[in-house]
Amino acid sequence: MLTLQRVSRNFGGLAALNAVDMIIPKGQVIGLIGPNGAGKTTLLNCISGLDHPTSGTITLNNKPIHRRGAHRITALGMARTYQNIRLFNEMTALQNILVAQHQQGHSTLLHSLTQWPGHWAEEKWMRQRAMTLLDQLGLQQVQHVLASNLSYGDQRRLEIARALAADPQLILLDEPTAGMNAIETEQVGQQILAMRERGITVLVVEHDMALIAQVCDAVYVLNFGQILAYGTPPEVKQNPEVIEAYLGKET
Amino acid sequence: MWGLLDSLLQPILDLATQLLEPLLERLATVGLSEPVVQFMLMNAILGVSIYLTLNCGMFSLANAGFMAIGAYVGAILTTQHGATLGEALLYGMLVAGIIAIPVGLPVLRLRNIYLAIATIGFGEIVRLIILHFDTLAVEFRDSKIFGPIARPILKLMVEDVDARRLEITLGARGITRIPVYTETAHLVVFLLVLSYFLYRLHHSRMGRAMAAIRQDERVAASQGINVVYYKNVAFVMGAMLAGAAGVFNALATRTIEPKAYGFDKAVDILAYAVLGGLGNWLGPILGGLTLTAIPELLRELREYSGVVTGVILLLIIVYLPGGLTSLMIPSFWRNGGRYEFAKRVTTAGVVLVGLVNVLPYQIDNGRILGYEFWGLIIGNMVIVGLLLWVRYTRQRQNGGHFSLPLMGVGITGVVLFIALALVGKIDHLAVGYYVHLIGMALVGLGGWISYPAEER
Ligand SMILES: Nc1ncnc2c1ncn2[C@@H]1O[C@H](COP(=O)(O)OP(=O)(O)O)[C@@H](O)[C@H]1O
Ligand SMILES: [Mg+2]
Repeated sequence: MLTLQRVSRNFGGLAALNAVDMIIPKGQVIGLIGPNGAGKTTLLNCISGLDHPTSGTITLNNKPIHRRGAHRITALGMARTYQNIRLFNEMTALQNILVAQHQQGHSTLLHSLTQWPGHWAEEKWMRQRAMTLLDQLGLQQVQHVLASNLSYGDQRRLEIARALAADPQLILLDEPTAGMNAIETEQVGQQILAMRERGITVLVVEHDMALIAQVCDAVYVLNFGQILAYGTPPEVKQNPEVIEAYLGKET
Repeated sequence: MWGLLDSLLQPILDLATQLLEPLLERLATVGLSEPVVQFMLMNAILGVSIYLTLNCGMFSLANAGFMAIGAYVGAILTTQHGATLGEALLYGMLVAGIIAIPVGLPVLRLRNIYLAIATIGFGEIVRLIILHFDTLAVEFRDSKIFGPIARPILKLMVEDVDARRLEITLGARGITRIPVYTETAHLVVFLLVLSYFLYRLHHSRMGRAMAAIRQDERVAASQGINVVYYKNVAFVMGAMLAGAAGVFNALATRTIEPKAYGFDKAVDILAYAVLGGLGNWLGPILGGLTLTAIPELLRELREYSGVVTGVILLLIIVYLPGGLTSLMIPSFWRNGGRYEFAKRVTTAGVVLVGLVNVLPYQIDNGRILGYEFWGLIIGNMVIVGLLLWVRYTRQRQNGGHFSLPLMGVGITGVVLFIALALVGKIDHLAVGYYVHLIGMALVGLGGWISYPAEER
């Protein structure tokens, strides 16, 4: 589904990514782990079009996407969450979801001005769909709360709901459980498994090895911008190089 | 088509004129004559024009330039071609909008202060081109390369294209003897239609996308929103509105000159939006109306009107960063717990009392208020003193310290005013009286809310 070939990204002299090769097969949940500063977020930025690789190619369903703008990549069915939560803070939870359904809608300003019947139907449909999503993530109680006033856990969940709202085939999760307690982490795990049930491919950056072991089909290990190891979660866990990378540079 | 539209609009305009008549008479008695009211309405449109771009996260100061374009298109069409207001408006908006496209495409890549500087540059270029348009036009007409393109365009602006000297914008002198077509009713109807447009925009897919771009452009893009497209749409819409305000302006003042649309005007337009607040489309309208009215209301202080406006703006930015309309947004009241809420209620009360006392007393010798000067001076001093105390004691965790005095002032104020009215010391119950009452009541309410729950 998603293929990266020799993707590099340099910031000035620093090679945040160095010739990364990666394959994310359709329908699988792939983990991405590595010490802080390894380049995981940079990699996600390059895939989602917020940043562009200095060299190398990225293809999604055989279409090259490494030169595309973010909104055109979203149109191909990709969505993501952010490590440092980036919700639209002046909007309510519900409005955050409505914005994310931008590409599902078609009504223009003219439809809204004339109160075209189709416009109403679309608004209603969007709201219903948004409510279903909020329901799924246990956010129905706080639908009218401004995103900035939500609890930390709710903000993380809303990020996931917002990514799902775009109806993606591939979803990128950047440390979705950071700062969450064990129960909340467990719930996120259930959400990821539910995504796979629905045929969504997942790339998840995560530090919690238990969660990785629970949900991932395979794991990539990134260190200093390079792929250090690849394998099933138990394999990776026993890989001496990986253990050294983690022990040598505490996360 | 034109005739049909005319026959549809005319009854609405007539009705509006009729309805406005008593209001305009009333406003004239407080120093807001009809021309002033017209300027207030034009500036409200300008406030909206900059709001459209700010609402999409763009700090653009190009609006005075687009206003100039609208004004000159309107003036040339009416003086040279006998165009009607409707035609002038249509073409003024179109030309401003079309020019906005090639300007916006490169310029909107810039952000924040860089965008502001570039758009100020655009405004200056427009002003200079208008200033030297007549000589430039002759140059282009006589040039071998541009002549064939320039001629047909110039033909739209002047009858005799081959004259030795062209007189189109008339440089620094400006265009004079422009027919006066703008009526207050036109502006009111335009503003009403605009309000409907803004209301719908906010509740539409496009409006949500623009709000998302303002809050986080990059996340908006990865949410599937075409940022460049919507920014340009907002920029063009803002330009068209500024163009419309320019047309109205030209057809209201008889004379226009380039210096009226310079940097000063661009800053004024920004001030309308800042004063009114950007959280809500009503803000820039309110801001445009108030900021234009204030210098007229404070007639005695007219010499210092610039200072007064500056002080008001400063106070708003410091104490009400969301602008006047932030007072109307529910979350403004709810956020931050009980003491914060109490403080806001008190602030609102003091703002009301302050507004009604300081502003209209000056202009109408107390006629709007209906009571004596000394009473309100003392009342205000007490309130302002209390407010400052509340602000500076920083006793947020222990509201009880100021809740009793606030309640005292509020209740005394309310009782005193009702008593004064009963014994006939207040000769007529004008609006100001009620506003004052509400303000006092809010001050008292603020005290009550902040009173520690266990003692209530
Ligand atoms: N915009 C940027 N400019 C310069 N350096 C950056 C930028 N973004 C990330 N980096 C650097 O790239 C490296 C990888 O960062 P990041 O991708 O955030 O790591 P991770 O998400 O794995 O913790 C870090 O050394 C970081 O300082
Ligand atoms: Mg990271």
